[in-house]
Amino acid sequence: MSQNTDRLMSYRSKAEIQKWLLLMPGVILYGIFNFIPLIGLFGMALMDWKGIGPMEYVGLENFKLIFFDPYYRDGFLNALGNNIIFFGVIITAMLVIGTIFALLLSFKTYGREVYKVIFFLPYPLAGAAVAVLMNMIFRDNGPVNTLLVDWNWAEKPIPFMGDKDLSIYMLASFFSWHRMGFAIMLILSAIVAVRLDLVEAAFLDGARRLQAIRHVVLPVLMPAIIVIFVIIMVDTFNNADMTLLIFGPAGGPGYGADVMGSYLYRAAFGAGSTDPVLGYGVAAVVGILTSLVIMPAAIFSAIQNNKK
Amino acid sequence: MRLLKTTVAAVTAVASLATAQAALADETVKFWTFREQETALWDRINAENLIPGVTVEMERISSEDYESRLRIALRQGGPDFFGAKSGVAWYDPFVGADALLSIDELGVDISGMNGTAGVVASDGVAYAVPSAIQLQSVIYNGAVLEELGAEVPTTLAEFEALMADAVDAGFVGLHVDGRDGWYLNQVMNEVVMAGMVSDDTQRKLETGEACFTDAEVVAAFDKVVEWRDIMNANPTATDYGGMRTPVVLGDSLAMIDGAWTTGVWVSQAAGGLYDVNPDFVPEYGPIPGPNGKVVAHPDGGYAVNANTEKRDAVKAVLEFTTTAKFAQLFLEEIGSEIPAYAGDYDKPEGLHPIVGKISAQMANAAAYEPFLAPSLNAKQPTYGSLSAQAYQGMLAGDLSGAEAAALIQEGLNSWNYVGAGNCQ
Repeated sequence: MSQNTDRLMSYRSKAEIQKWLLLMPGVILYGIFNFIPLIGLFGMALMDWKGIGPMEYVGLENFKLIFFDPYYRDGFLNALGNNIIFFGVIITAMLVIGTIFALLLSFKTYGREVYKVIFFLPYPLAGAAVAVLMNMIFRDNGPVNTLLVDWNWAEKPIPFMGDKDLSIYMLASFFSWHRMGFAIMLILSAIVAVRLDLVEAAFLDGARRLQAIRHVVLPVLMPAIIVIFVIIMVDTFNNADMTLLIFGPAGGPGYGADVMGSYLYRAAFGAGSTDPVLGYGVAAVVGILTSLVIMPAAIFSAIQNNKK
Repeated sequence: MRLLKTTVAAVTAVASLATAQAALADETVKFWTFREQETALWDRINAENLIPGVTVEMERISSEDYESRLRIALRQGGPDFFGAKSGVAWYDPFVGADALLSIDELGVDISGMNGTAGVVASDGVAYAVPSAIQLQSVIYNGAVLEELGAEVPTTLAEFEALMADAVDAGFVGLHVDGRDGWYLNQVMNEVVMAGMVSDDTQRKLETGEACFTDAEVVAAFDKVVEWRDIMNANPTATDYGGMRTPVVLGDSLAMIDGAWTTGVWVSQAAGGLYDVNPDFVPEYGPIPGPNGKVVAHPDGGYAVNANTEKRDAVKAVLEFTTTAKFAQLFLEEIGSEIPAYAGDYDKPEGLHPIVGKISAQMANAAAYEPFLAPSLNAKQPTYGSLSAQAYQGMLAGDLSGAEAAALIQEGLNSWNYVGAGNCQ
C-alpha cells in the first residue's frame, strides 16, 4: 500500500500537502478571527448601526461625515496627528535607547543578566497596570512632582498629565517604558548574531568604522529594526487603552491625548451622557483609515520576509 | 337553560380572573442594573412581597460593560426592565432601535416624580421612571471648616473670604478635577451655573431665548477663572481620585462634587472615602452666588424592554417605584441617595445624619439643568462636550470667561441649535 502511494505521489507532492496541512489550522483561525471581520469592516462602514436595532444602509455617508463635517474632520485629523507623534516618539525611543541598552548588554558587563531581567520586567505588565502606575508617579502629589518641588527644581507641581501639549508625550513615554524590554531583547539578539570575524575582515580590507557598521552590522540588525518598526506601528495606531485609562474617552485636556483608538471608541460608544454615539459604521470608517495608515509598513514587512 | 348559561358564564369569568391572578402571581421579572447599592432594596421588596404576585430578579452588571452587554441582551430578549442612565445620548440609540417602551405607552404616571428631565430622549419623550436624585454641590471638609472657625458660607463674599483664609492657612481652598470631561460638564459646570446663573436664565438658555455669551453666564465663567488662585496648582492634571482624597484627608477645604462621594450606603455601612479617613464629616452648600442653588441631578431610572412579554408585571413594578412606600424603602436600604419620589412621606427613623444634610440641600435645587436639555445636546458638538472644553481652557489659563462662553456659543451655533438665530 505504502509502495503504491509512493508510486502515486512524488516526494515534492507529499511535501506540498504536508505544508498545506500544517498551514491550515493557522489559516483557518486567522480567517475566522481576523480576515472575515476585516472584510466585514468594509460592509459595516456603509451602515448606520448603534449596536442595537436594525442596520440601515447609508452608502458613503459615514466617510463623508469624517472627511467633510468640520467638527468630526478636525477631530479625526487631531487624533491622527497625535497618533503620529505618539508613534514617532516611541519608535525613536525604542531604536535609540533600545540600541544603546542592547549594546551595553552585549558587552561582558558585570551583572548583565540582572540588568536584562530589570529591563524586561515591565514588559509582561498589563497596559492598565502601567497606566495606573505612571499616573500615580506623575500626578501633582506623586513622587516626581514632590521631589521637583522639594528640591526647588520647580516652583509648583508640573502638570505632566494636564497640559494639552504635553499629554501625548507623557503617554508615549509610558508606552516606551512599558515596551522597551521587547526592543532591547530583539536588538540584542540581532547584535549577538553579528559575526565578529566579518567585522574584523572588513577592517582588514580597509573599511572605516562607519563603513563597517553600515555594510556589516546594519544589514544584520535591519530585520530586527523592521520587526520593531512594524510591530510598534501596529500597536500604537491600534492603541486606545493608555488614553482611555488615563484620560477617559474624551481624549485628555483639549483632546491633546486623543489618538485613533480613542476616537474610534468615542464614535462607537460615545463619551458620556451628552455625547451622541455615532455608531459602529463611523467607527468602522476610522478602523479602515487606521488600517490604511498601517498597511504600507505591513506590506513592506511582508515583502522583506518573502525575500528571505 | 338560562341558569345553566349563567352558571357557565360565571364559572368562566371566575376561572379567567383566577387564571390572570395566578399568572401575575407567578411572574418573575428580570431586572438588570449597574447600581450595586440597589441589591438590598430589591431583596427586601421580594422578601416582603410588596408587589403582589411579582418577584423581581435583579442582576447586577458592572458599569464598565453595562451598555454593551445590554445591547447584546436586548437583541435576544434581554431583561424585562433595566436601570437606565441619564441624558439624551444614553437613550437615543435604544429609542432609535425601538428597544424601549415609553412611559406613556406603559401607562405609568410619573408626574409626581423629580428628575424627569434626565429620562428623556432627544424626541422629548420620557423612557424611564426616574429612580434616584443625586445632590451636586460644594462639599466641605467639616474638620477644616472648624479649624478655620467658619461655617458653610451663605454669600459669595463669605465664600471667597473663606477660601482666601484657607489658602493663607496652607490648605487648598477648592480642589478641582479638571481632567475628566464628565466631571467638568456634569458636575462642576452645573454647580457653578446653579449658584451663579438664575433659574430663569437657565431655562432661557435651554429654549434659546438667552445666549451663553450673555453677561450673566460670562460673569459666572469669569469667577471660575478668578478662583484659579484658590484651587489646586494644576486642576487639568488632577483626576477624580486626586481631587477627592486631599479633601477627605483634610489637606483641602472643599471640592465641587456629587453627594455620592460622601454617601454611606446602609448596606455597606462604610466604605469608599471613609476607608481613607473614617472621621471625615462632610458639609454641603451651593456656590452662594446670585442664584445660590445646588443641583439635584437625576441619576437615571427604570426603563422597559419594548419586547418584554411581562408588560403587566413590569408595569406593576414601575408603578410601585412611584410610591411613597418605595421612597421610604429606598432611603432605608440605600441611605445616602434621595429617591425621585416628589411627594411627602415619612422618613424612616435612624437614618445616617448625612442623609438629613443632603435632603435639606435638595430643597434648594435649581429648577433647570441645561446639561440634560435635549435642545442643547441633540448633535455634536453638544453643550456637554463644549462646556468640558471650555472649563479645561479656563482651568489651564488659556481662556477667559468671555472666550469660554464664546466657544460654547459658537459650537452650538455650528449645528444650528434652537438659539442659533438669536445668538449669532
